Amino acid sequence: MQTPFIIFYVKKSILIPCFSDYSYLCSIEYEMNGYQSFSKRLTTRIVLTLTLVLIIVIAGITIIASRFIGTMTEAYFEHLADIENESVEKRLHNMQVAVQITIDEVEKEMSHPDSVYKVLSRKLQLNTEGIIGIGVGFEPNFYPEIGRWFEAYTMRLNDSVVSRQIGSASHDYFTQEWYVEGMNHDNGYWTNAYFFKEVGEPVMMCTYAKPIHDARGRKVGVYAGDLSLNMLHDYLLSKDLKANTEGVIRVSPELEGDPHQWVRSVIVGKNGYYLSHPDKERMLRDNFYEIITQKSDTVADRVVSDMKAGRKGTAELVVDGVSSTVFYSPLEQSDMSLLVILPKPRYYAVVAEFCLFLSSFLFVGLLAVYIICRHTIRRSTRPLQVLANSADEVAKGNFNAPLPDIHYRDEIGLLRDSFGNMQHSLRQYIDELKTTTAEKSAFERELNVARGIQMSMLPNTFPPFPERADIDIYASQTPARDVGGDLYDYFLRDNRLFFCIGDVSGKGMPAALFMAVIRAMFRSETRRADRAVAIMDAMNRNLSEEYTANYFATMFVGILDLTTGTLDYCNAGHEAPLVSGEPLPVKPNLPIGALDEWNYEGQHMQLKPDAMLFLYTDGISEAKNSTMQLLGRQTVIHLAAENTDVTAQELVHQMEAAVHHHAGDADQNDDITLLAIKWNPSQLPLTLSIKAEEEAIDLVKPYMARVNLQAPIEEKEAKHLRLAVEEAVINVINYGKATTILLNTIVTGDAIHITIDDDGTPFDPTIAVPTNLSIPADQRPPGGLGIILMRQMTDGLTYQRTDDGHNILTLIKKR
Amino acid sequence: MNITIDFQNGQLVAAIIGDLDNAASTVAERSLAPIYERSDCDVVIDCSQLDYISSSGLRILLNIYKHVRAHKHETFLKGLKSDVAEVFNLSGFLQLFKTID
Repeated sequence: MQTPFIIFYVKKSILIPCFSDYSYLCSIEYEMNGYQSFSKRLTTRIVLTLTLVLIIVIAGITIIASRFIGTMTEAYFEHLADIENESVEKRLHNMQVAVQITIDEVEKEMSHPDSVYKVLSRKLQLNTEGIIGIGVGFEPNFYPEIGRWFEAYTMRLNDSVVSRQIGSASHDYFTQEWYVEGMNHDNGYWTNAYFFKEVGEPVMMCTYAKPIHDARGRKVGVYAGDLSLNMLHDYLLSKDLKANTEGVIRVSPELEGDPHQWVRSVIVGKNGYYLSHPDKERMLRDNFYEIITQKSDTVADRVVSDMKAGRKGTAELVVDGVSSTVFYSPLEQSDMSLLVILPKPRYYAVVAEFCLFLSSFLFVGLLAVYIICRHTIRRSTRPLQVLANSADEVAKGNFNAPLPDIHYRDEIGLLRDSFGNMQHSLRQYIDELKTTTAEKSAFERELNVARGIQMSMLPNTFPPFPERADIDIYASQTPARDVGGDLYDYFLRDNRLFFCIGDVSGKGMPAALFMAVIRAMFRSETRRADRAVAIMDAMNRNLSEEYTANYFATMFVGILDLTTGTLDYCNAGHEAPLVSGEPLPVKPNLPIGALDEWNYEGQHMQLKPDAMLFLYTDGISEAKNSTMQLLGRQTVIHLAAENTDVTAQELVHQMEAAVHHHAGDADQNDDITLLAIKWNPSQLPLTLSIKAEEEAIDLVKPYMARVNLQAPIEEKEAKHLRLAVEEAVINVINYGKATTILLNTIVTGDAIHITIDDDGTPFDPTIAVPTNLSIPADQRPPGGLGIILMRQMTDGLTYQRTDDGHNILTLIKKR
Repeated sequence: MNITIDFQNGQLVAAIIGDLDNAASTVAERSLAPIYERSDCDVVIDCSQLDYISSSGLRILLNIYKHVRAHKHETFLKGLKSDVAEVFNLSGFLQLFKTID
């Protein structure tokens, strides 16, 4: 029997037969750790419980039954003993009766010995049952003519009856037991059994003797009948055979096994000798009393005394070495007892046989129950297997897997219905989900495209003006979602850097669209306007006119004059940018798009060389960490103040690092935009290369401004220097027939040296004809004024003509 | 650079605002053309907002001076800034004009 308590890895193949509504035969391979069929488990449990119960029941029954059977067996054998006793007694009685009847006749025919023979042989012929012979023994000299002894004896020999007189000196019957005791017992006497060997085969006999009387009532002799005990022996033996070969079930054809373990019916004589025994050898040889008293105990003694006293009983004795139950009963009117010896093993064997029979029956019954249970339960749970299969199908994505056809309105039916409902719902939900997901992924793809567009709108090539060493710009933007509402922009025009930074209220797609609009407006307005405030005004009015949505944006617009370092700006509600770590003073204007009639106020500030302008949106100052703490404006200011000497890119990266460090794992809650602009006028080389044409003169003014920044001198002197340079250049352009002019400035501690190098015709202003200043200006010849100015405005003028055809004019200004 | 011309108190007042450098001289000549159309009054050049003057600028003023003098009138320079005045001075042009503050 299997034990369901051991878990083992089982690969089970279950074949599901065709149901009427399926068209396939499916084989399901279940791979599950410790899988055991429910039907098997349930059945096993039921049967196990049943078995356990039945074992107890059987044990109980067996115990009770065995007792009962024991009792029954005992009763059976006791009954057998009784029957045997009765039968034997009957035979003995028959003998007695026969004898008695004969005696009466003999007593009548006693006159002559011959008549005695006649009577005897007549009687013997009539009575055949077990009587070997009958005889009469008379008192001495009863028939004087015959002599002392006269014992008429008639017996059967072969098929005839023979009579003889057997009394003689050698056969002195007067001393024999039968005569002696016969004489003493008026009511008859059974002698002990003995072997009669004189005629034919030795036969176990016993004699029944009774005295005969004459007419006057005097005892004249003894009448005796010899009863063969063989007949009794055969009878008992047949009974024994039956008892030993027939069992409850089994019938064996002959006796088998140890003779000492057979059921034995015996007759025991007065002195305890076996008078009848299945084993003929033992008759008159073995003594029952001796056998049982070998093991001396009180029981044996009691039995002996009982038997001697002619009592009936039952006892447990050890007979022939085998523990047995002995049923003993006296044979009436004799001193014999009939015993049935029932060895215990035999007794137990009978009981065991019965129990085995019962157990086998029950076991077969259990097996049948097991099989039936298993089958029935399996059939009932078959729908569950199908449901499991359907579930697998559903899991694969097939929502139309067939469900088992269940007719019963029970739990399994409920499960099936629920499953069907679930399948149906799932189908619907998945369909809906597919639609939604497709829409969502389409939307997300578009969002990605939008993000790409937005990112490309913002200038993001760094450095943006590589040819301008005086501007170092770096920016970064990190939207909170896919697209953001922050913007920044910058471009170069007329040697001025136009830039802006802004933050649209809100996030996501709407803010992104708004941001795109504002950026476009910035670009278009800056084309026309030259002042930050004008740009801001224009954007504000455009927004409020065209858009009714309640969106606005904080903005900062700045125009940095790269020549002078002047910053013209206008702030519309945005965080004040930082200039080298210091917040720029800003006027409190409204954000654009808020109120279309708002009058914006502009401001300006002079930047020092190497100033770092840092613009940002509140995404950085309001960056939250996991405990909702803000990074804070002060942190930003502090960080900018500490990093005034680094490049724009470094500053931006520092800021980004600070945000990451602060926020940690927390989500970014707003767009973060950072724009750093460093103005390094000193980075520009003090060189100017121009074409020798009229328009080029315009480039001299900004150049001189740069020079002035690098080497500041008094304003008046700076103007004079500029004038001198311009005059020198104009001269070359107008009269020099040159193609290019190169200006270079060298600043020393006490002077500024500006060289003007041209490839024109040789001309030395230092030796040119000095205009006579004493002549009134109106009378001077034209030209030459420039030379006067050159000489007057500088502290020194030198000229050199090179071998490769260049004029090099050096103007010196002391500082 | 900007030039405005007004007729005030019987005088033609031309205000030069900004830098009268070579680049601005073409524009300046055009703007000052009205002066050449009149010949009946003094001319005042308002230099209070004149920041810079180059040789071409000086030449333009010289022409004006000649024209006005030819019609027997005076040309005044008004409100000259000191650094510009120095340029006039060092180039000898200051003597030509009368100055008023």
